[in-house]
Amino acid sequence: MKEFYFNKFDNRQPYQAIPENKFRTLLFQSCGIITIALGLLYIYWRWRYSLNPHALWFAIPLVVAETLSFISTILIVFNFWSYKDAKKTAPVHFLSEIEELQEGQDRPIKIDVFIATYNEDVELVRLSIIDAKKMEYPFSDVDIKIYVLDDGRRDGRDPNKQNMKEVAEEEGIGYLIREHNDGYKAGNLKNGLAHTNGDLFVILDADTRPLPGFLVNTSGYFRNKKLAWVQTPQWFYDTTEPEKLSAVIKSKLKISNNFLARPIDFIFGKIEVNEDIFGNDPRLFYDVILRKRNFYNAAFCCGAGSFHRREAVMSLALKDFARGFKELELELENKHSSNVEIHDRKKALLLKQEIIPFKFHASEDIYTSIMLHADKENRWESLQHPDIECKMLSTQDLDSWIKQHQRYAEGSLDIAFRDNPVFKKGLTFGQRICYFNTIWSYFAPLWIVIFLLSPIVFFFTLTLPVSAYSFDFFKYFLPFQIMNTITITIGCWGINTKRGDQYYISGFWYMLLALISVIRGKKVKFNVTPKDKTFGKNTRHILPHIILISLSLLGIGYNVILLCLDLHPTPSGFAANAFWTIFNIIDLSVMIRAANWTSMKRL
Amino acid sequence: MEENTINRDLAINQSKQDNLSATFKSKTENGSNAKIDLGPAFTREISENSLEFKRSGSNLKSIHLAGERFIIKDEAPMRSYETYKLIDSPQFPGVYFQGIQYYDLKNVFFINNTGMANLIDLLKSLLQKDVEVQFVNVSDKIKNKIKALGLDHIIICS
Repeated sequence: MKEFYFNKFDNRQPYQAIPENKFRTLLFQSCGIITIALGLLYIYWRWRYSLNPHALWFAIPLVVAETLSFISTILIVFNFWSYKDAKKTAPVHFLSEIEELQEGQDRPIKIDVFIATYNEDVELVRLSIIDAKKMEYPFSDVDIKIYVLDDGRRDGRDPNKQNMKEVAEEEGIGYLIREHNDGYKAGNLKNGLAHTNGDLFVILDADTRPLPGFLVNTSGYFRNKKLAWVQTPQWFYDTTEPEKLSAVIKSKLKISNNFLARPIDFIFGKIEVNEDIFGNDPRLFYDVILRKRNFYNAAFCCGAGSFHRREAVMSLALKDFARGFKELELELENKHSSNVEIHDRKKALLLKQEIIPFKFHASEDIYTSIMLHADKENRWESLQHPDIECKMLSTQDLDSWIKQHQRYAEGSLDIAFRDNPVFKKGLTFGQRICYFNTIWSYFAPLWIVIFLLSPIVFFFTLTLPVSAYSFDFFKYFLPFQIMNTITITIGCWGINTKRGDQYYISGFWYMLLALISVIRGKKVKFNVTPKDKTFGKNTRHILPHIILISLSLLGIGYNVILLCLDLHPTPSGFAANAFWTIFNIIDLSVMIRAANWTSMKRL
Repeated sequence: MEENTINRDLAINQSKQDNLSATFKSKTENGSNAKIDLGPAFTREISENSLEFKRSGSNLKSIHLAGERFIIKDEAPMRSYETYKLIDSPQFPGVYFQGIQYYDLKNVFFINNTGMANLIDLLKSLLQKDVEVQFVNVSDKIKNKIKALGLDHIIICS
C-alpha cells in the first residue's frame, strides 16, 4: 500500500451532527427578527442622517456596501430559520418501496456506485474502491455495482500514465471510459449512466471514501417517492492539525534547541496555532447552511457523497432533450421552406442532440439541483443528510484551495448571469431565496473591498464617511452589530465560525477575479482539484492582501504621528478606523499564513 | 384487436412491395409467434438494433441494459451496440418497411425515464443508418408520458 500523507489520519473519527433543538431554533428566530429590525433602523439612519455631505464620494459607496451586506444578513436569517431533518428509516429492499410499480412485478433494487476520476493517483482511487466495496447492505439480493469512471482514459494505452483499468480489474469492479472529455465531470457521469442500470446511484470523487454505513443510512430516504437525491456532508479528515506556537517559531527561526521555546511556552502557555489553516472545516456549510435548507426543500447537490434516484435525473435529461430539439426544429423551420430539406436537417439535428442527465456546466451539481427543484410536473425533493457517511481529502495548499473556490464562485455566478434561479419558473419562494443567497454570497467582494479600503482612505485623506463618530452613530450601530453576532452564534450553535469569517473577508480577491471573469463572459473552466500537496507559488494570491495590510499599517503610523503632533482633525475617527483595521488585518493575514504554511511534521 | 390491425397493415404493405425483406415477430394471443419472413439482411439489421422488453419484473419498464464489467470507448452511438451484445434475447417485435422500422409495443405497459432514453438511443442509432422508427400499439399511458416529456415529435407513435 502506497504511503500517503493522510494515512496517519485514517483513524480520525467524524464529528457528530448538531442535534435539532426547538428552543434554540425559537431563540434564533426571535434574535433574527430583532437583528433585522435593528438593521433596518441602522440602515435607515445611515442613509437619512449620517452621510457626510462634504464627502459623498466616500460616504455613498460605504453606505451602499453596508446596505448590500445587510441584505446578506437578512438572507442568512431566512436560510437558518429552521431545521427539518427527514425521518431516518430502514434501508430499502424492493423497487416497490421507492417507485410506483406500474403493472410490472417487484424485484430487489439495484444500486450503482460511481467513482469519478481524471488524473488522480490510481492508488488513491484504490483506497476509495476498497472502502466502497466495504459498504454494507442488509439484503444480499440487492445488486450493488461499483464503477470507476475514468476520464483520464488510463486503460494502459499510454505507458506514461498509471493504469487505472488494471486497478479496477484487480479490485473486481467496473471500468468505464470515453474518448473525449466533453462536459467534464457531468459528461463523465452521463457516460456512466448510459452504461449502467441502477435504480439509485452514488457519486463519489476519486478521493471520496464512503464509510460502511453509507447505503444503509441513506437509502431509506428514497421511500419518499419524490426524493431525487440525498447529499451527505463532505468531511475532510485530513485538515491541518494545530501546532504549538513555540514549535512554529522554532521552525521559522530554524532554532534547534529549546532556549526560546521554553520562555514562549512559559509566557503564552501551550498555545496552538494553524488549526485548519485553510478553513476547510465544512461543518458550517453542511451542518448549518445546507441542512437548514431542508426546511425549504432547497438543499442542493454538491457532487461527491450524494445519492441519486436515476429516474429523477433522467426525467430532467429527457425534458431538456425534447426542449432543445424543439428549439432547433423551430429555428430550422424559420430558415428553410423546403419540406424535404427540413426533414433531412431534422435528422441531423436529432443525431446531434444529446441526453444529458447532469447539466454540462462547471457547477453541474448546483445547476442540476436548480433544474430538478424547478420541475413543476415532478416536484422533486432533495435532502441534506446530517451525519457523516464519507470522508474526503481537503486542499493542502493555497493555490489548490483558491482554484477550487474560484471554480465554485465562477460556476455559481455563471448560473446567476445565464439562468438566474430567482426568475426560474417552478421554484418555490423559499427555494428562490435560498439559491439567491448562494449567488449573493459570491457578490460579497463588492462590499468587502469597500470595507477594507474605507479605513485606508480615511487614514490618508482624514475624511470621514459619516458626519461624525458620535454617540448617535454608536447608538444605532452597536445594538445591530451585537445582536447580529448573537444571532449568528445561535444559528451556528456548536460550530467554530472563526475561520469561516476570516476566509469570507480574505477571500475577497479570488471572488472578485471570479466575478470579473464571469462578467467578461469568459468560459468557466472545470479545474480538477489536486488531491495531493502541490505547494505551488502562492504569492500572486496574497499580493493584494500584503498591499492592503501594508497600507493600513502605514496609514495608522501616519495618523499616530499626526496625533502626537496634535494635528489630527478627528481623533475619534482615527480610533474607530484603527479598531476596524485591526480586524481587517487579522482576517487578511489568515491567507498570508496559509500561503506560507508548511506542516511542522514535514520539516 | 390491435394485433390484427398491425397484421392487416403489414399485409397491405407487403402487397405494395413484393421484394421487401425483413423479419417480423409478434406474439399471438395463444402465445405462438406469428412470423413473416422478409429475408436475412433486414433480420440482422433489426435484431442488432433491438432492445429487450421483459414482461416480468421491472425490466418491463427499464429495458435491459449492459453487463457488469465492460469498457466503453464511446458514448451514445455505441450504447445500443453494447446493449444488444450483452442481452439474453435480442429479438424485439418489429418490422422494417420502406425505410421505417416499426416496433410493436403491445406488451409494454410502462416505460420509465431510463427506458425512454434508451428508446431515443435506439431511434438515433437507426437514424444513423437512415432508418426511421415508429412505434405501434402504444398504450395511452405511454403516449401520455411521451407527450408530458415533450418527446411526441421525436418518438412517433402511429
